[in-house]
Amino acid sequence: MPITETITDTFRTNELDPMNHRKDHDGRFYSISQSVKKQLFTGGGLPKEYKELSETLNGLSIMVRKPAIELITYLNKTNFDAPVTRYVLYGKTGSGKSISLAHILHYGSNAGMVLVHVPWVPNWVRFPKGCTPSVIHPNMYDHPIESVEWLRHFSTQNGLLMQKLELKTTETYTWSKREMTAAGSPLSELIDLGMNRAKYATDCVAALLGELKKAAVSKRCRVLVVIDGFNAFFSPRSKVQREDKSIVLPTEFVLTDAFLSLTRNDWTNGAIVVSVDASALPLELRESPLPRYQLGKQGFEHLDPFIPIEVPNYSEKEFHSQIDYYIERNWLQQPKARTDRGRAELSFTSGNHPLSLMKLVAPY
Amino acid sequence: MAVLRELVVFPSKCLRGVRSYFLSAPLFQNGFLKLNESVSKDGHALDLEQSDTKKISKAMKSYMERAKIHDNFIKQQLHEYNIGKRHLANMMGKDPEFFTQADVDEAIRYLFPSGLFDPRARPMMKHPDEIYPKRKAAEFDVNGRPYHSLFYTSKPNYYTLMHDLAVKFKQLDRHEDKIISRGIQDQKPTELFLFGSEWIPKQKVENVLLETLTDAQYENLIKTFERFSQHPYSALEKDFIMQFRRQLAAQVEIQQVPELMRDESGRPYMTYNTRRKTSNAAVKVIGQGTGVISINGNDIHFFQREQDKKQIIFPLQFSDMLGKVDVVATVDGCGTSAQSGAIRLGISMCLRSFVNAETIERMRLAGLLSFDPRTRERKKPGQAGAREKFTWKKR
Repeated sequence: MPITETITDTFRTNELDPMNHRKDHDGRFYSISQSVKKQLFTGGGLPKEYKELSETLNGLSIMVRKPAIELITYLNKTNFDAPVTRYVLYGKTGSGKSISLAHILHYGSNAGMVLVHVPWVPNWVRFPKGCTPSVIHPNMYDHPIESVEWLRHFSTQNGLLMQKLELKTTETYTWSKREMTAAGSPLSELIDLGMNRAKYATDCVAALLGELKKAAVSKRCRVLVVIDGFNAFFSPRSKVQREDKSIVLPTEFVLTDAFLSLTRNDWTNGAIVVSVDASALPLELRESPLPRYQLGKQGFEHLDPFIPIEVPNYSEKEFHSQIDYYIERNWLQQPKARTDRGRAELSFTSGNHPLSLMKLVAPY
Repeated sequence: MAVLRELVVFPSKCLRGVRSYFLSAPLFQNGFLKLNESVSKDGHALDLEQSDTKKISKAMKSYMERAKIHDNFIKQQLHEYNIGKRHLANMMGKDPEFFTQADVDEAIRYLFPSGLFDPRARPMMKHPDEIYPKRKAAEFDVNGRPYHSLFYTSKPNYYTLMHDLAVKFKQLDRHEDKIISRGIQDQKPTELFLFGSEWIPKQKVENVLLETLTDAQYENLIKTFERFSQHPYSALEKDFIMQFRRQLAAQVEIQQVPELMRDESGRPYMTYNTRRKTSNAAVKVIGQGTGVISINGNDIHFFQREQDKKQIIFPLQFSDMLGKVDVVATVDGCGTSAQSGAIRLGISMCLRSFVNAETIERMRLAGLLSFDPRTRERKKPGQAGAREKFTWKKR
């Protein structure tokens, strides 16, 4: 929907800058422009069905909900001289964690923070495109293809910002006898190297994350780390196998190491927002959506202390707002669905659960 | 062995005699034909020794003997029954004088517990009248002369009934004429008293008349009764007609809707336990609610299939209570279909206390208040399943 259109519906808001989203915007939709969407979410970040629906409904509109508002309030008030605070979004599968993270990503982008965004960690754990044993780190595994993709995603998200910041490496990275990145060279060079040389891409990612950490501490930039499906890093299973068919645990990935070091609270001038989801783990570990259960002992010890933020089902106001949106977009076409009785039925049958409602209302 | 129940037979001449159809005494009493009040006249019919010196045929003799044997047999059974009742009362520690048939049934159930499925196969002790089929007593005297004038129709009771109906019909007409001639204009013919009952089936009519009827004869009888009961003054013969009608069950059982209970916070609630197949559900519906649902601690997504969710929502939607009440249910056993069916019935039964009588009736018609008695049918030996047979090979 074009931004210039006057908005009179109660389920929409004019406020398009997430930095200004407050409590009274709760339950209202704000639209994200195509350019922003392209910049932030080309490499992932919006759930597939949600993205397709937004394309069908002619524009990405995200509902402003309490978890995101809470996070924005905290981020606005954060003392960035203190060690980084870690926020963990938790809730049932399909309750809106990824969308809240997308909202925060937009906030971070508007706030001029460097975005370190992992769209969905289980993609690296469950569907790796070819893990190779690492050369530099013994007994660990690289993700060459995924690292290249991630670097591309990073540069798309932070392209303009990186140009403005002109960050430099602080140490020398030797890749091979002939290749090295000297200290003091621009970070963009590091990123380009990683994008071109898949062999060294994983280590480039690790190096980049290290550099960003140092840059944040020295106040050259502010970093926002957003990771969806964080608990997959501590999953007891992965699809990567050694030659003897034994399973490689995610903690033996170089990428895991890199991101875990970034999510430690031993640096300042940043924020870490992470989500844990039951669907990131194997079937037998999906009993409870709560952070302690989902992270496991290792993950909990790594992230502790953190601020847990629950992403609940729709409140009544949010539910009606969602239905209003669907009606306005002509997605709910049955005249009966538009009545009060219809709304009550939809509310009951979906249990006010966002994903269930989306599936219930879909024609396929 | 031929079993006869002794009946008293009305002498033929009294049939056409003085008999007022407007008396309260019905024609048929206690479900069997009782055309004669005087018993003493019969004594001679069975007393072979004091009969005439005329020769009695062998057939006659054996007929009389059979009747006597049966008569004695029934007397003996009755005696044993009464003695048995007193024994049972003693055994159970109750007063023999006031030991009713219900007490007898309970005692038998206690002393002879049976796991048999069919109630009719279980041990029972009942009055000989209920066990031994009734049969007509002597239909002709020692000389072979029938007592009933219509005996040679071979269905005297049936044809008597048909004739009676015709006669009564004429009498009702005469009554109507009298009313009209007297100019009693405002006397309204009485309304139909037939609501809530239906004509008894052929088998029952045969039991009453103690004669077998063909289907055509039964239909004829019913048609005649219909015509008779359509007479404006047929209500005068109400008792006579009602002997041949039986109440319909729905009118008799009117279930009492339980009153709402209150919990600590003052909210009204109702509970009900149901089952479907082998799953049991305990459902509690709490008023002044917002539509919160909890099944075994989970929300509606305890049931993953849409059809199960629809089963749950149906009673609430139908009675317009969606979003007005909360539901708390625990369920176990069987599968999702049975569980959701059990919860649906539980919710419907609880909602009766929240809604008005009209909605309860609508719910009943919609089938929401009916218990589903279907259970898994047993697999039979010699078959692959309950109904499925093994492959049939021609050779």
